[in-house]
Amino acid sequence: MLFNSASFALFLPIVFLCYWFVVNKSLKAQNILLLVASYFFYACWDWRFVFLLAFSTVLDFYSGIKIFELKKQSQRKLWLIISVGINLGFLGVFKYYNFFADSFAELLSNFGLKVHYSTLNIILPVGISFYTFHGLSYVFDIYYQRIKPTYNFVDYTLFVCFFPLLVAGPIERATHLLPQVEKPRNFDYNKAVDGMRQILWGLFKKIVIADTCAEHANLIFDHADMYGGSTLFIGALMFTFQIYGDFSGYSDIALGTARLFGFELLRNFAFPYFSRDIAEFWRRWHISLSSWFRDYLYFPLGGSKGGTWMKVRNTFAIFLVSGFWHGANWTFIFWGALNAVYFLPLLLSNSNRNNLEIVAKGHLFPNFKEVIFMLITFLMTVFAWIFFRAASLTDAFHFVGTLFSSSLFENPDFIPRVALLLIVFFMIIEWLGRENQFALARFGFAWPRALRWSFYFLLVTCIFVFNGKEQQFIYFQF
Amino acid sequence: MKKFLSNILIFSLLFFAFDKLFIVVRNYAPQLEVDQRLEVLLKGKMDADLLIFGSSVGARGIIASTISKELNIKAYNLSYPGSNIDFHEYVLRQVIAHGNKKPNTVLLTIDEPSELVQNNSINFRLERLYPLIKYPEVRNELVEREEKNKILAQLFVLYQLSKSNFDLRQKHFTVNDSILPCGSMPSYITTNKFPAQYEQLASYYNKENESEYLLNKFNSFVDLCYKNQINLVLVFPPKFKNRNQAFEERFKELTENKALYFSYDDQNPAYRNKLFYVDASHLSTNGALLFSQEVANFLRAQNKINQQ
Repeated sequence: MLFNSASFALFLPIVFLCYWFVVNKSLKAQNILLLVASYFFYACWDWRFVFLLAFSTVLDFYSGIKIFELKKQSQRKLWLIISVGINLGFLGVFKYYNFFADSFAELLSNFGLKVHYSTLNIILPVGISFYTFHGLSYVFDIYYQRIKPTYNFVDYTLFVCFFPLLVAGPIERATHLLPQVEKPRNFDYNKAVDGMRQILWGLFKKIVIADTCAEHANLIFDHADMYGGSTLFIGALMFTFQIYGDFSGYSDIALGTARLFGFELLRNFAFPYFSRDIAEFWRRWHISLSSWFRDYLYFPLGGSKGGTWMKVRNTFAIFLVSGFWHGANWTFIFWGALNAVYFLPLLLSNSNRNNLEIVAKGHLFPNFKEVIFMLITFLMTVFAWIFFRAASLTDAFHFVGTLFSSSLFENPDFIPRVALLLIVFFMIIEWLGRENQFALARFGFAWPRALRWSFYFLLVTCIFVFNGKEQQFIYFQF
Repeated sequence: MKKFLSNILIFSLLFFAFDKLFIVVRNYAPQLEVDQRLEVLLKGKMDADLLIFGSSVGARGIIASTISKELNIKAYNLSYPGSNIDFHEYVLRQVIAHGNKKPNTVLLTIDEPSELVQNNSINFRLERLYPLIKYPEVRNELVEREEKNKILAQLFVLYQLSKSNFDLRQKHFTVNDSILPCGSMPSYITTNKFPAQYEQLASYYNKENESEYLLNKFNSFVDLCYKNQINLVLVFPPKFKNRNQAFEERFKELTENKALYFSYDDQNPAYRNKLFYVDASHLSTNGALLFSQEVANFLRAQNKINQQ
């Protein structure tokens, strides 16, 4: 069930009304309802993987209790290894088996050895990377004694598989979400209205921006050998907005939906394309994943406390793993490495935390220097997305080779005018709303209701008109 | 909660009313189109004795009026450049379903080698359907193809539309896409997209590349003709190369005895002359006139046409 599908448009109000009108007297009943709804939501993808989700949940729930209760450090460690090993084992089999098998065979063939192995037709269970990381953060936090385990299985299961975040995050932490699951929740009008606005903006981002850009990005990337540099640049630009609209749109719908049920999920995006350097970009892009890797990989490796070599090693480690997390393809690993290369100079010159606040805070326009830095960062990001989007590294290098040729200065084969106009409109709203949680949070608050609602009508109209065949969210494949 | 629900309800009702204003856009859309062949079908006004289906090779390669003149019948070309068998089958279904006069003969031009293979150059031309979204049959087809949700399409006019419906400019013919009154679209341009010489290629076809979906659509097309007692002729139009017997044999195998076959004579020196082509796969106007004449002669010889 996709967030942008008619079935979700039916599912959400039913669960919402039952939640606030039928089971509103009991927290336990509310949690059970959300749990049943979440499993139903997940089963709509592929019911067979419900068992995998349930197994992973039981494993982490039980491991958490054992780690907490056992006194001997060696036994605690053993349970941590069991939990992490099995979780990563599943992830490895479902997500990376074919990648390793292919790479191994290719490596051997370079030495003239032919191996006969079977590449299995393994279907990737949707959301496995996300719910695995939920569970892992939980057992890590118990192991490092940051939290105590919950003994309520329903509460824990809901923390892992709450439907708005189940298939593509944000990657929640038990320290943040579990207390909300355990606490009674009352209907809050402002929160619910905010949730509706965020859902509306998320749908606009996905259906109008991302799916429109996707048409052009797919056409250009799939036939890159037919186009010159200027057209390829348009393709890269289209993908840049496609992936942002797609993933941040998904996150907005997830956060907005959770708000309707009284939950506050972790923020996942904070206007990343207005960043002034790559370090700022990574504080604003897929925040829940970046912070997960920071807390559970970068810091345990020593973070930036050691010498230069340690900083370089850890930076590469976090970016390479982050790239690999996205998928079993060398393109993602290269994309991660490229971002590490972008990031290192800032880290080594201690300027990675120069831009903590949103750009031009309290002002309508940025200054000249900010514009230049935003533009440079944006173009670096566009370049990196080429590797993320390309089908293979060979394709990516061909793309880049043509992009940086004299044909970059020729007239493009076509100009996607509608998409570009939509992007301009979109970025204006994002700019005006950049100091808020999401662009539409306070947008038009000072306007009379008629005008504000007219603006919402415009957004809904666009969503309806641009709505074609239901398009999967990019991050579902991760 | 009451305030929240009442606001949602008021917003929804107002939007529902606002949405109905777009009926004007929806109903006006067909008038902006220059190619009105599909709308003629949907209105049940198609009355040709012979219909031609296909992609650009059919649209540009067969001049229906030449056949009309030669056989003294009414022939009409319903080929759409860039369309595949999925689209042809849809158009044929509309011909049969909408009270049009049932044709006596249908010519289906075959795209070599991609007729039954999924590829980007030919597909189901959805954009031909959106201007006609006011017709329930078109909406149903889009729902069938999961382009639109059934309930939302019934409730909201805006949901039925696509962004192309908001391009309110009158469409015009282009040099490459002008339509004759007989529905054919001969090409008046020339290109250099030719191999250096007329190609002599080995006969080859791998049916493992075929798409099961397209194969089913092809079979459905054949069955529609068969069940409605329409004479089906599979036409293999000229290319700037020799005929591919293996490819043609595959279609004979598929249709069993439910169709006739007509392929060009690759010994004819005209078909080895670049002047008769726009590019290696498409006939020029002169080539199309010559080939249409040959098709007419074939039909006359087969005596499949009710002479009027």
